[in-house]
Amino acid sequence: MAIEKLLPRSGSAVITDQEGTESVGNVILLSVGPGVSELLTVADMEQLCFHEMTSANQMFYELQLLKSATDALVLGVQLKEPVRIAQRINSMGKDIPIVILTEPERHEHLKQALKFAPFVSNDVMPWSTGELEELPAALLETVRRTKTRRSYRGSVAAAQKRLVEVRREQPQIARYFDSLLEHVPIGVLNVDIQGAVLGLNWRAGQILNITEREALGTSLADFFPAAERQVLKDTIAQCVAPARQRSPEVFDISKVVGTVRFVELVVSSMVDRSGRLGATVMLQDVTAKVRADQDRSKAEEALRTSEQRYRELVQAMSEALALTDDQHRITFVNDSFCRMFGYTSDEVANKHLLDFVHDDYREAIHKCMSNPQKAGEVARYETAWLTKSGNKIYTLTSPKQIIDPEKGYLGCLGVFTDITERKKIEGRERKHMMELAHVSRVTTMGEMSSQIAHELAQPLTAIAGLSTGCIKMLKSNTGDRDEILGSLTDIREQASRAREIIVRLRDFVRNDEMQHIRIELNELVRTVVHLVEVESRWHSLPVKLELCESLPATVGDRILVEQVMLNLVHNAIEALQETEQHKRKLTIRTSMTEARMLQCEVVDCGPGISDQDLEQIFQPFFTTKPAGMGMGLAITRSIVEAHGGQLSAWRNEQDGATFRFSLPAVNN
Amino acid sequence: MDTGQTVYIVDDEEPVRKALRFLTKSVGLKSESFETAAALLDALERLGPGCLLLDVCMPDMGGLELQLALRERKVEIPVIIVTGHADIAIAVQAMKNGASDFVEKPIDSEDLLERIQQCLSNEARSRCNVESRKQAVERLASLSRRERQVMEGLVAGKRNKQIADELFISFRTVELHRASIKVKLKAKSLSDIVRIALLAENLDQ
Repeated sequence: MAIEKLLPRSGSAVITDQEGTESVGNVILLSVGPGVSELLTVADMEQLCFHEMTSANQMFYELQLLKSATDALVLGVQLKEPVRIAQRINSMGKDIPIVILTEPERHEHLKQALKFAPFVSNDVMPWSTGELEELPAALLETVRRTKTRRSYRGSVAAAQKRLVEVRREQPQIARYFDSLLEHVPIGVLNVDIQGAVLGLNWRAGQILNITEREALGTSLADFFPAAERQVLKDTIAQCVAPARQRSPEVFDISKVVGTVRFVELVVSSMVDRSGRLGATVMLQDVTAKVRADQDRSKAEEALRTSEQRYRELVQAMSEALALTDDQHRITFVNDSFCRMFGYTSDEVANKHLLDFVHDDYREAIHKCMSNPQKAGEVARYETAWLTKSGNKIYTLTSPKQIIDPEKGYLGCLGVFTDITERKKIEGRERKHMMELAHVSRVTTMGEMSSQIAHELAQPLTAIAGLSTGCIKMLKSNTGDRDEILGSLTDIREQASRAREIIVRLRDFVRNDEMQHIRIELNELVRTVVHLVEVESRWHSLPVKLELCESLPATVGDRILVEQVMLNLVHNAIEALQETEQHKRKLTIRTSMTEARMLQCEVVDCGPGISDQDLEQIFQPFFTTKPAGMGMGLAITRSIVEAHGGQLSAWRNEQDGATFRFSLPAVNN
Repeated sequence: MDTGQTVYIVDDEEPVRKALRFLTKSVGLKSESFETAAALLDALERLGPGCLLLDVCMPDMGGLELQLALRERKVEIPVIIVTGHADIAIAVQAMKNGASDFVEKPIDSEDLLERIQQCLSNEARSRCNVESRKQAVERLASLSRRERQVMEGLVAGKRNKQIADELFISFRTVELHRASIKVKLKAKSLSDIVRIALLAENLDQ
């Protein structure tokens, strides 16, 4: 029950309870006599309820039982021991004001007695019967005072009780929070609105590298680098601003703590006991995170730089570059590619690489694409392409297959070097060489004309003789049919022999494009030996063949390689003419090296070559022959080199000359 | 026509031997062939009358060497030299060795038969008669000085280039002179030129 509700309303004596009904003060009248009882009942209003009792024992009993409080007790004049009754009631703990009626002459006496009665409270009051008219008002006042005191006492008791409970609980919660704050890995500081530290937990001291004694009362800003102080102050100042989304700020406090340290700081407002505004600052050591971030951004930056550099490199390189997917469709090309091919990168995107290959090379490139590259193999392909403007360009291409260990073949990276100019020059050089070779062959044929004529003269002689014979026999009717038929067959044979010679000669002097066909070296040696047979036989010069059988083939122009062979053999035969007839010997030897080069040696036992001449024999226009042009060996060497081989010469152990040329072997 | 004479053929090539034998047979001549000079020399004892058809270019011993070998053995038999090389030097050498005649491959078979017949009928000698010589001298006289010089060079066995160098004229001019000489001497071949030149030489002697 609230205190103020028990207080009397201004100017009203009505006591109301919480329900608002009139409260009745209970007054017990013990042995007061009919006069007093009547007086009180009449004089008093209905505010007091009087209970008349005649026996003290009944009263004590009633007091025990009465649930509602008794607000006052009036003891009659007739009672002999009123003080004792008062004492008894007091000892019962009943807080009841007692009025003891007394004759006027005995009033002062009773008053004094009560003062010295040890067990009677102040609320025992003597009342003279001479002043009975005043009694109802005094009683009402007493009841009101009692009621007021009681209800006040109840409120105070409740408040007291709550206070005791709070005192009992508060230390526990405080201890809990304190220990929690000491152990959380977050630094917590309480600061006032100016930023002075009011308190901090252990972790905060550790993060800021300060002790509690150093921290207390010092401005938090002092623990931060000068550059960060304003930001920190602003952050704290702003925290009190309402409804502000506060994001954590990161501060670099490395300079202050003397080691690399970054803290993340969150500020929230708080109010202290005295109602002053302050802030709670939460610190978190984020050095590792910042470091990781820095490392990551550094790595990202490095990657970006590196990517950028590669991109620039790829774009700046003079070689064209194209990237294809696993279906050979173009996914990326660089600027040089666009320049070289005349297309924009959009125009070639997703197109099949074969779409740009010149018809001449399409089949070969298609074959290369379908064959998987061997690991570590570096292939170089010469390819011709068709540009947007329809030009044919040549490139040397080194494709690199991109193979992912898990996903397998991802595509291909191709670098294209433009060799169109080189091809043109090569083409011109080749043409030049071919022309020279042709001239040389014609010259050789000229030099060999008498031998050739002789070779051709044989079958023609036979044909002339046989045919004339047939005619004569038929005319004169001599000779039998079989004989004539046999001669005619011989004529046919000889005619075909003559034809072969002519075909061979025609082939030999033909001026054609360089061809690339399979050549069996040994077979070629035999052909050439046959070609010079007349010459060698005429000079009584045995040609000894030391051929390594089961040689692989080479690829090249048959006529040109024949020319090489013929030139060397022809030279050897010429050289041997200076040697005594019985000593003349010419050996032709074939072999293969470990580097898979086919070799052919032409060994003579002629006068050999002087050291001085050895240096010059392959130079154009160098000759030791009176009628020589000096082109033979120079051309021979060009031909060999055009076939990817080498030509060399040295003085052999028989003091003659050995010429050796090599040609690359091809796989079967 | 069986005159009892035989044509002996020496050639290293079987088709040629076969053809020459067939040719001579077609005109009724007997023939015998040898692959090498040595084979002929071995059979020399049993050889009857006739003539020799010798190929110049053979391994080991050629026609010219065989001529000399026969002369050494004092074998008197008319020799027709057959050569695949139109080489003046050979022609000159053959004639000087005493060859009755000189033909080039590929042969003109009618011409060859005629020369064989002449040889066999001993007419060869008649070709050396005064009339022929006179004719040769007349024809030679029709040559210009330059042509005469070129011809002498040819008969000496010199090559065109060599003649050109010696006479300080171009190679092409030598060729032109040769063609002109051939016409003026009414020569069919190089060997004709040589033959006429040698006849005139004999007359001069």
